[in-house]
Amino acid sequence: MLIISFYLDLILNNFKFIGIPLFTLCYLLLKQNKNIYLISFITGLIYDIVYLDTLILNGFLFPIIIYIYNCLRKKNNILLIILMIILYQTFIFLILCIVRYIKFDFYKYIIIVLKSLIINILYVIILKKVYLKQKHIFLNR
Amino acid sequence: MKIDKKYKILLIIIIIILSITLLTLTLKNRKLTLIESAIKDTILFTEKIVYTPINYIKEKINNIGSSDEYVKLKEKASEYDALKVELEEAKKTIEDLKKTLELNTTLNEYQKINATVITRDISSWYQFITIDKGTNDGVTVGDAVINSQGLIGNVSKVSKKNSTVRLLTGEYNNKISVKINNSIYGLIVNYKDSYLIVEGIAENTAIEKENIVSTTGLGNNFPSGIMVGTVEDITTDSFDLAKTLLVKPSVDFDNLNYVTVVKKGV
Repeated sequence: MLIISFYLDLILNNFKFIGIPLFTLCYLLLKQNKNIYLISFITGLIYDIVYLDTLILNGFLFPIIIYIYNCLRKKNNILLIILMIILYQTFIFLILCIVRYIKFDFYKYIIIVLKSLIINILYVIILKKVYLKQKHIFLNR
Repeated sequence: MKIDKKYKILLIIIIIILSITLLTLTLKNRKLTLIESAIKDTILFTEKIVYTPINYIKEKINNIGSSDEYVKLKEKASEYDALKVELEEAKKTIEDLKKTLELNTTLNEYQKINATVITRDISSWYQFITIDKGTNDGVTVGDAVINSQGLIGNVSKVSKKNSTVRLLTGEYNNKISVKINNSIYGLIVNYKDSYLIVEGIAENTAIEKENIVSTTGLGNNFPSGIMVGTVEDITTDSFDLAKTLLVKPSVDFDNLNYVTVVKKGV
């Protein structure tokens, strides 16, 4: 499912009207196991290579976001996931402004955050209701 | 327990500083390592297989209701034959002049490599695209990228099978030399509010709206004579010593599917 989320991110990035998909991050936030930090580090590295041609921005950012999520959560909560998406976009935006890759533009930041939220919330709802529920039923047979 | 938490926070801060440092070092133009190229090529190759039918459907949807465009294209096609004859005559004249002057190459000659856009990152929508041609196909860093409408940008990173193209509308460091109506020279310095900003033009030059802006072929890898856009507005700088132009790009950057990489010179 992680690979499907990753490829969905790649494909849906070609459609401007859809928004900014962060399906990989959403899946990692929902799917918790003991190796989650290692998996998120490797996924982040691959994300960097494919999208940004850089090293270890998302490789570090994914585990940090998951760590903050784990510190704050009591159970999987959509509001908390929304906060994590906003936090992720804020981190990325600030870091890219610090290294002067993009110019600071608050309006652009708001647009990016809003574009991220809608499509990713829908994906989280679908993941929770359909996939994770099915897996729970399958494992409990 | 409190000390443990402090160490974790310190670790996070160190990681963020390290990632900013690595990002600064790796974000500028650099050659991709072998492992990075291999991972990128593999993932984008599989993505291309999945995306091709989706792209086909997307194009079919875009072509619905294109009858008005068909009428306009038909009118333009009637002018095509006359232009073709003029072009052949001009090419012949250039060849004769080259022989006379013993020139090996001119600024407007280039090789072409056709490519398909396979991915673009929406958060940097107007900054980069990835195409499905790389060093195996002869693409090198710095090559200009165009489509039928005009200049799109230039290649910033290359792997064996893919290349990253920095768009003209992105925030770039290199100024691009352009000419207005084939006679007045300027530099593209920025992109803002859907317009390219051209500066470095003397105040006493005669420029009008809708004048054609094209590349000069000087100073970088862009061949000369590639359409960039048309003049939309003319202002002067704060000292009234030079003109600043707002140029509307000829390319529709929302709709980039098929592009051509051009290599300057033969």
